[in-house]
Amino acid sequence: MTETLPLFADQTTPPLHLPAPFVRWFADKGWQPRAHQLELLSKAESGLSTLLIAPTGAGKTLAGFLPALVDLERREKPKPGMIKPGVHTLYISPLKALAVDIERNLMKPVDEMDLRVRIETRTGDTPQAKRQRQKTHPPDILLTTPEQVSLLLSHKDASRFFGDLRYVVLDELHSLVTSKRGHLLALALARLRRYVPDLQTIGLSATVAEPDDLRRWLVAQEPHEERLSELIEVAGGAKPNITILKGDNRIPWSGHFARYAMPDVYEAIKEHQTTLIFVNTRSQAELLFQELWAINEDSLPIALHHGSLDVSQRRKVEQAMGKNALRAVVATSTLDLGIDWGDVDLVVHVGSPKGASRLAQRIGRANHRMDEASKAILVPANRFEVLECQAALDANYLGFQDTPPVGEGSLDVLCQHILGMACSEPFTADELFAEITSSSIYTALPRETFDRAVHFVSNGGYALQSYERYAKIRLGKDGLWRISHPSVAQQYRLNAGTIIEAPVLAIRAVRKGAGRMKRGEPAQAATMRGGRVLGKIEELFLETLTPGDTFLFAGKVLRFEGIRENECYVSYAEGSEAKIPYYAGGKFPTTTFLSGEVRKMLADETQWHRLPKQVSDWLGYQKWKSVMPGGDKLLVETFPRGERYYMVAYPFEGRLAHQTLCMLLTRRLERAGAQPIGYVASDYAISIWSRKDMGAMLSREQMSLTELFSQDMLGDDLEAWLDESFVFKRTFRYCALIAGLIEKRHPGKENRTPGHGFLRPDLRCPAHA
Amino acid sequence: MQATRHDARSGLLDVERLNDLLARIPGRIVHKNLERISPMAVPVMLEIGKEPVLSSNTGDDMMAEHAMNVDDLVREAMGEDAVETP
Repeated sequence: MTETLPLFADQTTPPLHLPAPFVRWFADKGWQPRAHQLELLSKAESGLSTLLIAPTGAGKTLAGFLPALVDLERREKPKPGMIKPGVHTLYISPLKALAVDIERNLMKPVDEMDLRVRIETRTGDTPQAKRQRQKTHPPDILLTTPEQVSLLLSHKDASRFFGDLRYVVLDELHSLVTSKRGHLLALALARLRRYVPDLQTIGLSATVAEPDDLRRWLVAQEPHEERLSELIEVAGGAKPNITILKGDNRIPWSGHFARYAMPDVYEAIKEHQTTLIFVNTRSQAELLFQELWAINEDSLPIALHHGSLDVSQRRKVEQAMGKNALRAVVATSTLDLGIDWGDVDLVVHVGSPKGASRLAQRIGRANHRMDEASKAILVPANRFEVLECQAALDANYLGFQDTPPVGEGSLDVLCQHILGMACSEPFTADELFAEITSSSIYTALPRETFDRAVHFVSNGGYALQSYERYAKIRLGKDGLWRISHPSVAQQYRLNAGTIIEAPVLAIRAVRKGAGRMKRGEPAQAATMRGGRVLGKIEELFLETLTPGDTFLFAGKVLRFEGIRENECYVSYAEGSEAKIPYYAGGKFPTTTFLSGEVRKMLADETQWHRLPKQVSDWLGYQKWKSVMPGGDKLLVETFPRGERYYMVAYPFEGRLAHQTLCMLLTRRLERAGAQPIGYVASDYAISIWSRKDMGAMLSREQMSLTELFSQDMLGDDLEAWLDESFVFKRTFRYCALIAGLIEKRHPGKENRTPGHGFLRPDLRCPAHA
Repeated sequence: MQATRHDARSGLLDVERLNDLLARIPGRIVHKNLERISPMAVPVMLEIGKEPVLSSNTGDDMMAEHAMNVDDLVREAMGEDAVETP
């Protein structure tokens, strides 16, 4: 094992000595370590943290783990009586599935090289017994998610568990950093650095617009000095071959399901070895999976994968995929990031890609060899999506990345972290403040805001000062903040995590009619128990059902039987007519960049010939009958229809912004005397209807568009609306959940009454807070 | 509450994006008063009736009476010959 071979990463780095098993493994495979893999290893060996930016298929994962594997291989064999070391390397991914997948892919070379390295995953799905064992007997490499790291850090023995940590490998860093989970992770890193001051980070990322944001994020910042990690950039990758589906079927005017295209998609599946079909929502996944099976005359193995399915079912699909046993998988973003699949040779993307970066990611799934072009087909579900797909396609060729900027750390996550740190050990405000502001996204945090956050955790904030039960931490005479009771730590661990999901219920299959009973009756154990749990579904959707209604779930038509405690009982229904499950998750607005491209395309008639004839004809009609929206103009049309008068505008700014706009415009129209009745917002346009003729009012200058659309609507009108709106109360609850103000789960209490509101009565008045 | 307002504005309400729009459009609003629905308006009109509509004080009239019929809308917007057979 002492035999080594000098390797040169490049002229500027010192020679590296790769341990013999590695050299032999590369040689056996007929591979050469890639330059960036060796460069990263060399920087790691010199004690530096590094950001590696590389396209899919460049061997990023191996590059990220190489320093850890090499270091572990060199480590002395533990002698009897030696204290077992803590975790050596943490690998953090944004997705549970990714962590599991990496384990599979990492075990292969580790086994082949016969390395003495113990690798384990820890996610929300890990059984309690295994978690306990991991704490007493930590693996060398722990593959996990940001939430789990925060949870581990909230334990008393965190300093011992993480005391031997050398590397933190952060996968898909560009995606991790922009969310609240990223904020939580940044704070966790700051804590890890306190335990291990010379801790090294390795960030793996796709191409980003501002690499320096990530480089700052990876290392500890000094009060008045900016620090950056090292940077390795790998250029290129073959350009993907992307087309928009060309079929003879009529492209729908609206809707998001793209049913019309399934015969063509099925043909494409037949022509390829393995096809990944990405969709934007779970209901889309359910419906299209069903449609494909309805026309699956050759009985091809086609599977379904989305986040609401039971975990064992997901694993089954993932394993079958790895063995190349499937011809197609219909999947949502649960499969999105960096997962290394078998030999996928086609990616089909249904619906609008809602952002060019996401499209690039997904297409990266096909053909993981960097030097071969990936193949993808975009399937727009309606005419506006044709425009979006074309724009996304252009963007992908440009290699444009429109992931949101990293931004500043959020305060609710900060509150959650403060409580977590108090659960781990008492702290002084000065020390914790210094630790937190060493993270690049919290360097600008004012001390005053931090102190308010600490007091907020302590007394629940101004609004709840009188509620003693919310006093979670208290300041002692010794200047240390500590939790007021051990149960606080227990509650924290149950509630931690920044992904706040809508209330969900497990779905259990039972015999038909078995669930028909009223709530509150004693359980009819014999008929109700023993059925299989199929997955989870949102309470909000179930509230719209009455027993006997059918809906599509896990590719099957289910009959709603009733709700019992925190489970939803269903039976298998005959036939194919079903309501479609509604999920609050997965509705992304179109990104600013893509909207801009669509507007440009509409304004530029010379681009229209690239679109399908139906769509360019439609644009031609619009130009003839009205005017074209797009460019830097905002078109507002008014027309009568039936008993109503309509105002339609085309901002192309995404559904969320449009809904806000509609709501504020309606307030103004009401004041102007137009008697608005209602509105509807899509990703592309808004429509408001009224009793009075808005067109005539505008022509007679009784009302002015400039005033209606003036920027000051975001002042008083917005504030007034925020104070009274339901949406705001709901968001308040979400933030309060993250900040630990409300318990999502309380030990011993199951707060799962269907139909209970979003708010506890004592939190119903956020306006005066 | 600071966190909530910030989130509501950036998340559910996308206020920043709306602000960018409103900042961009002064002097660029084009009003077209039409006798009937335009071709471009067909998709958003089809959304009516699919979801409930919020309004402050109009009572039961808040819901559009029925979903729009696609062929009717297309015929009105683009003329008789433009109606396609599915």
